[in-house]
Amino acid sequence: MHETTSALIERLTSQAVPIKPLLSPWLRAAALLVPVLGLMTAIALASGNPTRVTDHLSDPVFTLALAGSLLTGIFAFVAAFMLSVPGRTESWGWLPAAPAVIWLTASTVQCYRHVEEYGIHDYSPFASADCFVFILMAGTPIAVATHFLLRRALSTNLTGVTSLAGLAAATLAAAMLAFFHPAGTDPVDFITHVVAVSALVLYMTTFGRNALGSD
Amino acid sequence: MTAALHFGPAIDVPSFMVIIRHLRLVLDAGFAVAELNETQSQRWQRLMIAAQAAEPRAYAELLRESSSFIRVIARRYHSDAGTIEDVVQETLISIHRVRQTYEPGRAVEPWIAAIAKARAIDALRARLRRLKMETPVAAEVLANIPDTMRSSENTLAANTSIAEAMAALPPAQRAAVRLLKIEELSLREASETSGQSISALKSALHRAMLSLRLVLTGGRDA
Repeated sequence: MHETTSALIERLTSQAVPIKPLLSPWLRAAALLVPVLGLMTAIALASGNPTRVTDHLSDPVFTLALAGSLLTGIFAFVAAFMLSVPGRTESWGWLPAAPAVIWLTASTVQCYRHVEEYGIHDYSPFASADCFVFILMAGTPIAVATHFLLRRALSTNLTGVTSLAGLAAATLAAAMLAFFHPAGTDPVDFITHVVAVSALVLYMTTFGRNALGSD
Repeated sequence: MTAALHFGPAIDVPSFMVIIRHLRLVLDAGFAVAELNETQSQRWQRLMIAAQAAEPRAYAELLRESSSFIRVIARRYHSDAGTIEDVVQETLISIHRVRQTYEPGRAVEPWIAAIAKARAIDALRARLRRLKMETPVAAEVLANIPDTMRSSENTLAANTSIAEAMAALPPAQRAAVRLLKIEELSLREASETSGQSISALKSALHRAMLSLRLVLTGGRDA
């Protein structure tokens, strides 16, 4: 630094122009979530198999897995927007933890049921490659839109914000997958879903972090 | 039968103006009392909202008062006075850049504290990076350096060759070296000053460093 703090204050003051405060993180999260959820529902109803989903809603494990995935996405969205504002408590980062545990537990129970019913057979590790591609293809536009909205805020916790944004995008995509996927999850399916979600989280944490900068 | 319309006692314009003036005085006095009674937190909130509206006096007051607050936070992470002042200045610059993220009605202190903490940690990371790149030199090694190598003539010659190598660089690369390596601006600041994008600056700096290394070492170290 070559100028004194007083000189810097004078310079910053002289450069100030009126600015409009950002909307609250709740409103900004809602502004993105409402159209994203609307679009996801429209695609799921138009191209997916909603009847199969409604038929299985009577199965509590299936419903818990679907609701857990959807709520993880929604809560991760809200948490990312909360953490993108300086001064908000970092506890917001734990918001999606409970639904994520529900999603993972219910999916594990589905796997257990599958193994119990069909036994352990030769699973091909690439049997669920379509699921992997679907989660990445559906999750990437959501991640990009989230990233675009988060750019306007300053993050003092870039890793937290970008990983939550990736988690939100990936788990919403995983929830939408239920409409294009046979009900019930086998172990390979489940592992593939978890790997796809982790890949999107990792991608956002690595590249989203660089793009958002360390300001 | 006609009824005369009556709108109350007539007030002439000068009397009306006197009433308005008195009302304003009463209101101003009320605001002054309110300002005296407000806590520091409320005062900063008021100043921050005024700063968002680009009210220069309020903005300068807020930055000046928050500097001491930031200095306290910086001292928790650093002991060197120069580094502490760097953290204060970086924080003030960040506050200026992202003052739209302050949500009116919320306390200003946690908002500033979070930015100051992030800048203090950035400075710690930068220090660690520098320490990793530096190699400690033993005193006996320094003592064995011939005097000729330390002479001002050699320093002058080295400076001249660096200046010549710099002058030979294309303008964009020269600007990147000057802003990022000599003036030690951050990528964002250098980008704002030069008008080049951050990726263009990174690329120009990389090419410039390769060229300088080639010229200054005669290709031995390239």
